Amino acid sequence: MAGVNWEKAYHDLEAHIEGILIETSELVNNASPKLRLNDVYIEQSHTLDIIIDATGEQMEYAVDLIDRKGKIETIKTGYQKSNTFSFDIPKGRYTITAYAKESQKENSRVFDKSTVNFKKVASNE
Amino acid sequence: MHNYLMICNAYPTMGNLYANSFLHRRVKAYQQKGLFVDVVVITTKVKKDEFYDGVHIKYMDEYQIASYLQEHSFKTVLFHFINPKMFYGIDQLPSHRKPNIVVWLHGFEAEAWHRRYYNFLSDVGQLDAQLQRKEIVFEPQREFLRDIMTREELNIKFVYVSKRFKELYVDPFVGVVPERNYVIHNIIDDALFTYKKKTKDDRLNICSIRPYTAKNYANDITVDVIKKLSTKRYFNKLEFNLYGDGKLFNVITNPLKMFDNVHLHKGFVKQDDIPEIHQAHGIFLGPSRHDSQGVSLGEAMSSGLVPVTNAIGGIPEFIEHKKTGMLAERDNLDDMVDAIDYLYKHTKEFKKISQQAAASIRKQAGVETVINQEIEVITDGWS
Repeated sequence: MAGVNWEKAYHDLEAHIEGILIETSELVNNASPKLRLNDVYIEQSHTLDIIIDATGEQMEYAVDLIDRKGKIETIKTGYQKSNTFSFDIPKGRYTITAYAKESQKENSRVFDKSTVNFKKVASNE
Repeated sequence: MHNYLMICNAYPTMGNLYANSFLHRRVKAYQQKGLFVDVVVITTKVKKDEFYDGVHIKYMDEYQIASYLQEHSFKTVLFHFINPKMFYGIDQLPSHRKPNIVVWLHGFEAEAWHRRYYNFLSDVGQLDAQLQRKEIVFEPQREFLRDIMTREELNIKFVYVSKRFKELYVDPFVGVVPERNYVIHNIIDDALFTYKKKTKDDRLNICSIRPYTAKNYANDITVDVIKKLSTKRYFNKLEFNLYGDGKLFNVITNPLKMFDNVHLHKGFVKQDDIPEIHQAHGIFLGPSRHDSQGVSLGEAMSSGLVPVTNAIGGIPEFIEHKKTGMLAERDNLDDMVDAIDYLYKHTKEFKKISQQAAASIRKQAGVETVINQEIEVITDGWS
């Protein structure tokens, strides 16, 4: 049985390598960023302000706000284009779940859970 | 006793004239030589038998094929685009009832998963899908081919459509070379693609007939070549006709709409309509990134067109640079522009290459040549 001419096959494959890497480079450079939740900023004033910092394509954001003592009903904002949320709520302990998703992709969602002891700061005005 | 059975993945019918039409051409040519072949198409769909142009076609799944082989005795079974399911029926037969087997290897069924990398590197999803296919499609196919190429109990022969296809694609993929292997090219139908002597003016008419379904057909290179030629002083003397269909047609050819001398013909071109297109042109612009033979180039050569293409895959086995066509290096735009420039400036050479191309491809892959070789493999030399 004659054998495989590995040397010839290798040289042919080697001729492809530049092409493969050029295509790969284009793929990497044109690739959309992977969905990632970087940080959730919480600021307290007379309102509780939440800013979601996330990386991805065509992002949408949402927040669930749960009053730990159940005095007020859970707030679910639903997804919106803006990454900034402002809640005029009573003081107390809350659990915040911040979500980010890519609107064009199904089942793409990242979230982060944190708690805050919200002390309402009186407005100067 | 039935003599010959062909098992394949598709066969033309009245409802689908172009499915593996080259198999029908073979079966008809075998008939003319007195060799009658039953045809079975493997499918999981329940389909009634069809009769097409004097050929009876049966549709079966692997279990039905196994029963059919149990109930009928065939001297030789011919496989095209083979896979493990097609072969299941053979494996179910006891050793003393196993027929002679001829396996034709054409392309995708016998090459590595990464070979057509440009077709799945345009997005990550396609790349991931191909990596999955590597495990669930390509690996089992490789193991299957290796098994039937090395199993001693089988009386089996393998036919490759070109030597380069065998050596560059199939051998390194499978890792073994079967003992009985033959290089027999796909038929170039010289009765359909009749030679017409070209005049010097024919070199100004350039055509391309290609599918626009994947990047391996390299239509993007055709477009770039035309754009680059547009800077030549003689560009307006040239006339281009691009024929083809597929999801990439509009996207790829859009930049050419600005040129009055480039005509875009979107749509599937019937085999019978191709000779007329060939008659009206002198150069066939057919770049390629992957070809086990390059049948459309061969058909153009048979009609007397000078092919301008790439030295990749099996193509250099059929085209010698400046003798029977013009070859550019892989993806090399400048080479390809230079090739057309050469043909434009060297009218005598153009006519000579045209003549030599037609003679050469006839000798190499004309109907008589190929069918005689195939019949010899099918009927002779069995142990």
